[in-house]
Amino acid sequence: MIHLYDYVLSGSCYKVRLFLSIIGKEYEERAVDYYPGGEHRTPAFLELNPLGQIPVLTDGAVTLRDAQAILVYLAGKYDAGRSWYPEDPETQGAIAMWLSFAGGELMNSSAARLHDMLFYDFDIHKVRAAAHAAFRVLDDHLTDREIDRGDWIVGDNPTIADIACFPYVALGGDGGISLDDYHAIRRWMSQIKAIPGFTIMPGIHAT
Amino acid sequence: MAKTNDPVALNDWQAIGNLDEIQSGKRRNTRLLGQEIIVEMDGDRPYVFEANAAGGMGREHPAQILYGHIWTTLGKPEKPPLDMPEFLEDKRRLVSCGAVTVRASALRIVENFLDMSHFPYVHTGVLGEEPITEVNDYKSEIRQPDDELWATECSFFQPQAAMSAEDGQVSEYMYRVSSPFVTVLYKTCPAVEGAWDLVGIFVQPRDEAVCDVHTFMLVLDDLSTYTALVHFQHKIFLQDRSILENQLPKGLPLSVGEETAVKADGSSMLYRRWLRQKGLKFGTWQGDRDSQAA
Amino acid sequence: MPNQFPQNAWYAVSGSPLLDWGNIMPVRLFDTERIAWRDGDGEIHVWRNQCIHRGMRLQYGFIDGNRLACRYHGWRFGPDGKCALIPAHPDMAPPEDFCVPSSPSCEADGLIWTTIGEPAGPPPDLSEFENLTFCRSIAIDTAPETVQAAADIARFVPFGAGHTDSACSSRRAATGVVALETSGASSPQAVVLAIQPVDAGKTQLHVLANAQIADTDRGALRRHYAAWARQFRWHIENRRRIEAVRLPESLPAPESLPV
Repeated sequence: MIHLYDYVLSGSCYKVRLFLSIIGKEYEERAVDYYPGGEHRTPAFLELNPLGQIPVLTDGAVTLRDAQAILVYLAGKYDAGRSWYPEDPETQGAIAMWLSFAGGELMNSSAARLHDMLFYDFDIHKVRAAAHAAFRVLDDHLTDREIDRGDWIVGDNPTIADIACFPYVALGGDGGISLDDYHAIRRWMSQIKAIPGFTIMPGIHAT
Repeated sequence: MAKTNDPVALNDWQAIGNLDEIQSGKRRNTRLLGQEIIVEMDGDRPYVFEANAAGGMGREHPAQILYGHIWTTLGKPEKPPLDMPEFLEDKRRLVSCGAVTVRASALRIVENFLDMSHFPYVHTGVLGEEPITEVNDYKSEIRQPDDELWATECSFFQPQAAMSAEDGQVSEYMYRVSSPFVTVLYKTCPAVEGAWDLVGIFVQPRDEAVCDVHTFMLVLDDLSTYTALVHFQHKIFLQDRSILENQLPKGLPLSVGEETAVKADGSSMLYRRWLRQKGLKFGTWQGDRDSQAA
Repeated sequence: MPNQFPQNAWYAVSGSPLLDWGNIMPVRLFDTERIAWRDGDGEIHVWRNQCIHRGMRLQYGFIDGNRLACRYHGWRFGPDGKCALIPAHPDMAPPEDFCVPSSPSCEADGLIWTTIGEPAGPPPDLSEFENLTFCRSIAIDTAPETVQAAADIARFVPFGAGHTDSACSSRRAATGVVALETSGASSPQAVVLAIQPVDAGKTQLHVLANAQIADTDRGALRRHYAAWARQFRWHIENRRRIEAVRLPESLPAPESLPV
């Protein structure tokens, strides 16, 4: 049985919850008292993930941290159709680029949200500007994809690149980052919400 | 903004943090009604000071510990904070969920707390779901001499009424507003027949359109873990937050006719009337209807 | 200096293809908030972005058949703006005056037009451009006057093989609309820029190309002008001397952008 160390308000955990729901894979939640308890920084949790972050996923002998890494594993192991993480190097390279973006530049949106909601100490103007810059890169890319009749970040079908990028874009409003400028992003978000098995988290609407 | 000069807001008690957050030093500097304040614990005693221009401790204000939270006042309240005798019941657990910041007026936040019509839309599959959307008649009144707003005989069908609920049920509710920024609801306890669970918010207005919301529960639930209860409440409140931050205008319109109401909004209409009678200005809309969203 | 963007005028606020059924588009014009949506019959409506009940932004609502629903309490509004259903009281017919305020709107030349004032006439007539293709909308973080000034002296390399010359002329085709045209007559192209004043520091630019091309080339045409729009935005936001805006023959290596 898969166990997911999880917090209902974590966008990173939601990447995994969303993907598991879409591929219809069961799992057990291990709720981590992230806020206000700070359980992810306790010695017991650091044994599981020395970076003190969630999500962490265990599946038999496998223990993985980092939402992007977990998506790679789950797609490889459980997606029989090989569409969420296809095997060809060109597609994997492109997906890796966007996974890195999801865990990198897009995390400025997460920082803005943590600052605005839960008092985390960030330079809010700097992270919001960086989040807008990242959203703009994604929006320009999705604008070009739409011109080529593509609905997804990479290729003709949704991949884990879409799952990894979706949460902190969709949660931008929580951190004061409006999506009003980004037409292509909003269109892409509706596409994702139409995927069978799509599930929400607080701050994200169902349609 | 600077400290408000609205006497209705000032002459009242507000919570500014739970004990854990303040004792651990996580919450030391905060803001109340436009005023920067500093909170210190000396053993078990809380102290609250206005922060002076240099960031040091200026004028002191009264402080007390109540229901696991530190409360203070920047004025001279005429009545104490709400009385919740349930707090002393042995079998009840106080679950303090931590503060969450919301960019909304405290009055919008309280009004949302009183509202049931949004359950199927904002808390879909948990507190309500289409097609069971009708709000049955209920009663609202101002109770004297306590000067508190109460809505009673409220009920709503809920797919997952509480952390421990396994099936859908009709939940009964009572809502209580003890002062403009403090509200508690009493709802059917799934674990103990005939008993109420309490969920409440102590809203700390930082400014007119930014608040820290301190959510708590007093529940008769032996089975759920503390973390599971907190997460359930976080989920519900964060769903509300994405609505609250998108209501226009920010300030709550108090005059009749500025927003459109129906019978299900009885408690909200009474809340607005009650605030109008008190003469509250802080957190209210002061403009005219046509300029609300231009 | 006369006001280049009077409020009593029509402005483009979206390309038609961007607004399909099911989508509620936030529209910001002169620092006011509106929404645009398309009903089941394909008609466009522009409304105030605020539910009449508790002020919830309607942009976060959802489309239910031929009605727009508010996300907060699920109130349903028909194409005429009138409230058709209040879920808390499902058997009650909502009063006639429960209505969301709307703004004049229309759809023409591949664009959605609206106004926050009272224009004297219809929206700009762009029928002189007979082969318009909507390319993209792009948000620029500068004042509309700055965008217009940049457009007045901008240049572009037309789409298609054999074009390398960026010579062009620019003219104001209408209020808020600048057309950049190739000078050579052999295969004329134009870039039509419809400027939407969002607020004092932000502009939405709706970019259309006027070119006679085969349908199979339409994607490539859009890509070409989408790239031009990004370059144009970069030069304006980075305050380069506008006279220096020239597209090289091939796309440049990425320059470092302020992040």
